[in-house]
Amino acid sequence: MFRKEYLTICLISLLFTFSLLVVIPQIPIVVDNPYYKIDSFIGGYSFILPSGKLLDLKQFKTGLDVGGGTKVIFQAGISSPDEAEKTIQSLLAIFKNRMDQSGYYDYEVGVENISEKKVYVSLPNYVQTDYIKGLLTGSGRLVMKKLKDPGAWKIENAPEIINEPTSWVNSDLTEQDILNILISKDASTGKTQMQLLLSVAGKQKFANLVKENVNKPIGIFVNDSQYPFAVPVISQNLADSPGADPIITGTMPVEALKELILQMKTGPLPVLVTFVETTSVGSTLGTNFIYNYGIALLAALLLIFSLFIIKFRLLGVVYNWSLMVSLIVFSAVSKLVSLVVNVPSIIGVLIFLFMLTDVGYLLLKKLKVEKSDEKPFDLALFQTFEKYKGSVVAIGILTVVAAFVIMNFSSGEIKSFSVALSIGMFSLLLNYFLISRNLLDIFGRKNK
Amino acid sequence: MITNFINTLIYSREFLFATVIIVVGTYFFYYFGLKKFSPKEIMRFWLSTVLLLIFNLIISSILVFAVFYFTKIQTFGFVPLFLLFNLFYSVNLPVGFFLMKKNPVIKGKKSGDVPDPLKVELKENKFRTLNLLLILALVLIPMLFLGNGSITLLLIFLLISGVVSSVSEIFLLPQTLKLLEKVFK
Repeated sequence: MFRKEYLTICLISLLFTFSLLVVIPQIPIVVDNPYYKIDSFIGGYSFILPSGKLLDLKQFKTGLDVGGGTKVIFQAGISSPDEAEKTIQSLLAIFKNRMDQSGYYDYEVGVENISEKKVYVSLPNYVQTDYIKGLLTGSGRLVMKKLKDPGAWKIENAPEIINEPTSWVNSDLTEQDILNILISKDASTGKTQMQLLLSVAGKQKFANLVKENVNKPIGIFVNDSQYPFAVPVISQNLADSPGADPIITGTMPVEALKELILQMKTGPLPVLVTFVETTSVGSTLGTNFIYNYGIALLAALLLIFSLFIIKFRLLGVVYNWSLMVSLIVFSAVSKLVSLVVNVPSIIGVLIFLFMLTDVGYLLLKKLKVEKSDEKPFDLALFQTFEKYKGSVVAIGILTVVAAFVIMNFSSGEIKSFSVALSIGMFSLLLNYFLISRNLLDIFGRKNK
Repeated sequence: MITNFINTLIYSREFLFATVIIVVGTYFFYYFGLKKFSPKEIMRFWLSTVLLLIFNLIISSILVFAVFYFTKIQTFGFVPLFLLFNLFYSVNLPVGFFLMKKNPVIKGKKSGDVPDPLKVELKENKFRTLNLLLILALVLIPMLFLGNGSITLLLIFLLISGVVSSVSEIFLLPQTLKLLEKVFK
């Protein structure tokens, strides 16, 4: 007869297998003999998510301290040597602000060479350096330009006029007149829409610009480029509704728009910044840190397992098993949510490990006491888990709340600590409610 | 150096906010989770947890500063991490003890002299604390030998934190509980 225990064991086995496949790196399987050939691999998969993003499970993301990365060097175009130090400090503050606002937290900014006015940004290996180069060298300036000779505008020779830098002259409307830019999609055409939210002065300047250029193009120039980012043609409707925040519809790339908004929000760069070179930087914790840390953790786990077995016999063996499954699930979730392996996340793992061990100790100790009252094993197990249920949930929730607070108030790599701790609490609850309870129920009852 | 160190402690925003959440959260956790005890007892448990946490933080910070002072290292980058670890480890120990009090893990004797329950619980808690300290040492010591200089310092801080928290859990918790019992009489 089909029993509920079989279903539970199947569920735990599936969870373990799925997690293990996520965790392991790509292992090639090659069989070449006269009867059959296999040239495949197991683990290290990669998927394209519905959002279009690539989920790469080949390896864990490592932070600068653990896996090293790339140092991107920039040069600041400072002409006055007296102002060099002050300008470089202001430049570094803007770099830091742009990196933070882009959601990066594992990086370093600093001065490479003060006499050569060189600054650097060190990035871990998983960050795309090309994107960062564009993000940091963009001046964050925006200026609207009008045609020098509006009378010469004809749709037939639009490309030549638009792409000729001398065709344009500056208007007085700049990034300082723009409060925000909103991005949306036109429901009917699917094209990108960019709405400029202008200040009061900006609205007046824009109204004047529109009045002079009905049915003519205006150029939006960003990051001191000679070529326009967008060239909307002013419609009569827009001219008839002065004071409205203009909406520009076109095929502007959304990512570039987001980058521009970020550059504008973090203030324009005080000087022209150019990319110089990239060099690789080594891990500050040594070249084999991951390997050494893995060995250290394995040694520690073996010792912890031995302690549990000596103290609780079969119950200890079964709890060790559930501890192992929980750790594999923890690692799999960490890889799926792209947790960065760095020192703070390792500390988060340590705290999770202690909590898991502590809960295990309390549970097994209580179970032993309940059993010694000559209660049936099912009842003793049920009562033990029921008694701690509320407490474990409360500890889990309290820790996750604290982790979220830490995440919101920390600006650096400590965010990894919070993420690791939150995943840890998820694994702790999973261990309590599914893994250890059921494994003890099925395999722990023969314990003397 | 001492000013820089104290500034690092004070301006560790993530730690300060996490401490507030944990301290307030622990009270509610005791209030709703330890209903079999009277409100006075719950207040006693909570205050002893908070006092122990403060003691651990002060003593561990002094010891960490001593390490900085004698090694002449002045990079305090690891201090917020040490503080966070200290916070979670320090609170976890007494919380576990009060959970044991709620669900006793010691079987009462059926005959003969009845031992003082608190004494028995404290003895069991001592074993639990030492077990956890042993686990901390087992995890950290291999890493101490396999890591390099910069992480060694952090691991030493974590060990200091673990040892101070365990020692205070074993020796100070009973005294604090007794003292608070007199206060709340």
